[in-house]
Amino acid sequence: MTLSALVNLSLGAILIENFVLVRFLGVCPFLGVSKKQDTALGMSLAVIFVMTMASAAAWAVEEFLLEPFEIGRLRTLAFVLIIAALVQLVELFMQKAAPALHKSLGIYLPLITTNCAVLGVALINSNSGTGFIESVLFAFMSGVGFMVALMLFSSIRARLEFSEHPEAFEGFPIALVTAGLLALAFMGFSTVEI
Amino acid sequence: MKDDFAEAADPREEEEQPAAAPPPLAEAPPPAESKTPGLNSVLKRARPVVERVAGVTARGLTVTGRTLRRFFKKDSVPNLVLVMFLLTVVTASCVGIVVSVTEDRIAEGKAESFAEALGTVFPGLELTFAPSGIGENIYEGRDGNGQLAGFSILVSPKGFSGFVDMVVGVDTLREVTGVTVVRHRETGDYSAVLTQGISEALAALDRGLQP
Amino acid sequence: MTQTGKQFKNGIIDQNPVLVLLLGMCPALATSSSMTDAAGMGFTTTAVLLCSGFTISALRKLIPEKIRIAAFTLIIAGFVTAADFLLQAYAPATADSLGIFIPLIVVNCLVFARAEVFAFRNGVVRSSLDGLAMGMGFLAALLAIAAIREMLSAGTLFDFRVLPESFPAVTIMAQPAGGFFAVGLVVAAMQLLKRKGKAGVSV
Repeated sequence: MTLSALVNLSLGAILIENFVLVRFLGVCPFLGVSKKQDTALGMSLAVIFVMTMASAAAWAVEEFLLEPFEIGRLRTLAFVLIIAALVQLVELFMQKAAPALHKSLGIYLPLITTNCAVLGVALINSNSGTGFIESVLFAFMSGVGFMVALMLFSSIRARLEFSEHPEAFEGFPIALVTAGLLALAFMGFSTVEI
Repeated sequence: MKDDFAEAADPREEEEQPAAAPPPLAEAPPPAESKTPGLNSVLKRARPVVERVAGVTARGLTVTGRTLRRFFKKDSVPNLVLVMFLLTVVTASCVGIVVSVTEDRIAEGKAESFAEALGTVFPGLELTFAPSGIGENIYEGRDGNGQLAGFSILVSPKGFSGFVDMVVGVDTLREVTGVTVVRHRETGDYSAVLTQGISEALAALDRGLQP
Repeated sequence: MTQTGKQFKNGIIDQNPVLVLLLGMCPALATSSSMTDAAGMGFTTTAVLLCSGFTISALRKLIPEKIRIAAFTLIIAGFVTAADFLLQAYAPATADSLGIFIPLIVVNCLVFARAEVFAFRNGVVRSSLDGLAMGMGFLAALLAIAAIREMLSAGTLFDFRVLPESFPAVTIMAQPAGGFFAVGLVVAAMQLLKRKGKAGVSV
């Protein structure tokens, strides 16, 4: 893959079509885990890992199982099961290797299974029919985009505690409005050309 | 219900009752007028049979269930595997049924919208399209008299967010009659991609028309 | 209020999936740019909730605890795939505009949460009603958000012009940023309503 194609892909996935702020994939954990910055970092790394691995596995399943036997109808089912299995593995690994992180992530780790971003990237890859390397790279870069958005948001949210806002907006609504402002900022990237 | 039976089947039973039975009422009220006397009697006769069959089935299921449970304890591994296997088979078959029912409809719809898309680049003309022999994505459009009106060419130039599928219409004078974008994921101005698509289409047509 | 009525009030107001439980945000944000899309998404999700609630509740005695998550996944994925194909066949326009968010109903936290919290532990009738009630709540929330977005960005509701042409079109509301704003507004409104409902009692 040429360097410019790689840069194109990366910037597209991270900035121009950010998974959270433009495509609306992965919003639940984006809102849920962004209260503290270290959990946010741990979560995004886990998500990047799962997204990349899941896309690789999903590509293989699509190429060697779904297409030859023409059972594309079972795609959703197959992809979700792959993701569920991967998340279980990651959880087991994390329990042994990084128990503190595992504890602080708590329930949000198994919830990566229901993260629209993971299934979303697998489906986008299969819809666009790209090759293995491009699919996996796209997934990785999209995960990085998720991390960028999440880290930015959590650092803003840390300051939200001290902001003055109407009582009705306490908690999630003000976070949503802030996310909207962040999305507004990201709109500036939409006409970037390489 | 047993009394109903007695009344319907044997009106003389009252007289044969043992003396210890309480004296019958002076005038037992007649049974309510039934709108479907025939159906009612059929149902009356069917009920005990149905009850017996249902009882046997329930007992059979319970016994089967208990035997299966003895072999497949609720939380044991063989049971986990069995449940997952059965669930997978049933789910996949149900999905298969739904898909086979909807397959034709989906294909029809796609063919219709495809034909429609091919026609949109020749506004105002009623053409029928068929694959021309000169190129994979080149379709020739003929009007009502069978005259060749032009070509609809499918191209997919690369935009910023993946491919932009478009149809380019070229008439017999090699003039572009129209461009329809079928699918795109672009955000913002992608007119440059359209121009590229047109030139790709013309190039493909020229290649195909070369002797 | 009858128990059924209570269940519906619960699903639509007290525990509205999007506005109170804050589940199902992804489709709420993505499909609420127009009311027809929102309606399509809401009805499809309701259908999946209803069917999966019924099935999981009917099978609850047979599914071992240890693999219940996998079992839920299978059942829900089956219904979502069926819904996907049915939509493609009988409502291709809706299927096209909802795009990948139809298969993404599988990972809608709402469906899983209801399966785990309710359908697995309650009878068939109650669970089906719960699925229906939660689905109606989801639909209501989506329509509320979409109403704001469509009205402000295009002046229409369900493609019927509602505001005069001279009203300035706030096109940002059709964009992702507007989605976040609209959802934030509606959730805030909901929180305000709930606070007022509990007037005098601290939340």
